[in-house]
Amino acid sequence: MTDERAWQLAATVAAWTATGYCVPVATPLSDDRWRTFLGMIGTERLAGPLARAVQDGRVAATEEQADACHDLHRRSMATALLLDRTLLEVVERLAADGVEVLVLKGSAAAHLDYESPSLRSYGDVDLLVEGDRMDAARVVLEGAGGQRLYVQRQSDFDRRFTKSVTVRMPNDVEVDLHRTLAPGPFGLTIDLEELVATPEPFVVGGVSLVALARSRRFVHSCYHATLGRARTRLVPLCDVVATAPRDEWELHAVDALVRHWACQLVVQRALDTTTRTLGWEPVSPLRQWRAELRSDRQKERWLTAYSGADRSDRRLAVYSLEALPHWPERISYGSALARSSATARHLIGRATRARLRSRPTAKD
Amino acid sequence: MAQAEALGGRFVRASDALWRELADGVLLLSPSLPQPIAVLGPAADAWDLLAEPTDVTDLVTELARRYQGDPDQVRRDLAPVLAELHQSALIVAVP
Repeated sequence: MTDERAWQLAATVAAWTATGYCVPVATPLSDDRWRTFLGMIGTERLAGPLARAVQDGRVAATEEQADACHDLHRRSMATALLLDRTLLEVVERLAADGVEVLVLKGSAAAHLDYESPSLRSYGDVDLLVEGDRMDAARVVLEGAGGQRLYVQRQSDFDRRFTKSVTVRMPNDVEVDLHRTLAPGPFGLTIDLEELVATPEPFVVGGVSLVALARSRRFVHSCYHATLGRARTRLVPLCDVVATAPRDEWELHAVDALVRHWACQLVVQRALDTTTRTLGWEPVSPLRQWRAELRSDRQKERWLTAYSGADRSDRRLAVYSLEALPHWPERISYGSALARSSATARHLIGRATRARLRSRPTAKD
Repeated sequence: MAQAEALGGRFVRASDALWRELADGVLLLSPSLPQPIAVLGPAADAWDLLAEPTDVTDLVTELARRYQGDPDQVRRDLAPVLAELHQSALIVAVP
């Protein structure tokens, strides 16, 4: 079985979870094919949905294959529990130092957006931190033995521009401290105060935590689905379905965010990919709303820099300059990139020359 | 049963216990356990019933009913499970 075929089969399992329907696998695969398929299920973090599909007879499996499937699920859930324990420890430490956080993706999605947390696997801890508290949060985790994985470009980059900072804890769990939801220009157009408005509480291990409001979780799922990797990952698409607006009121909240953050194209692309990959069709009023989404050529250019054949860190950096509203920010951003990238020195020159052109001259 | 009786008559899940459903049971983790432990079959039913404070006698009666088993045998089988869950701080005794 090729990886592509295994991925298509995994998409079938994801579709069943997201839509309640999938083309059943009526006869067990050969053991070799099952191993390839199970490997893809693990890569795509769909152990829970597969376990349920096997249990319900949607995916036929021999006794040994079912055992392997349930073993994979057990291991992925053990990981989830250990991550939840780390989450609670980290949140407690941060709170003791006055750093408030929201929980993103992973545990929040599992507890808020799925029929059972057992259906949602994850591999790290993601927290949203206010920009001005990013340095303080990182220091707290480093004080607990954590190690930052990448050096900060300049002393205020985390606070002002970064998407996230990853700290690996002594137990090898990676904690991602997010300032915003995406790298590059689409991350910089997010209104961060609006992002954290009306958070939604949930409970893990008797501890009350907070996540983004459902409308924000939906938009975040769309970002994750669209701006991620070269090949579409299936769990973000399941998250899109799980958090999709269910009525006019929820759609109104999403519409306001999408317009303000200028991310129509990101959301439209996520919805289209979800429909194409999982066979999911949004119901009204979301369906009409999707059809009416409009974007502009600038955002189309931005999107090409994130994935596919034209993916380019340099172009992401250039477009980030476009997304920053004020010249001092653009100069500062370009300077920061130049400290770590020879390519980015080009950005300083470009930004400075454009600024000089806009100044009145003696002739004026 | 002597072990469970010595621990007290009523138990409930510890509020700080973390857990996930599996196809054949549940996976449990307390703050003090180094790794999660799997509880399978009827023992998983016990975990389900202990979502609310439950007397051991009532637990035995219900499990015997569900599995059409001899209550005395259920009691003997359940005792070490409850003892381990209590020792692992996954369940707590309540008045």
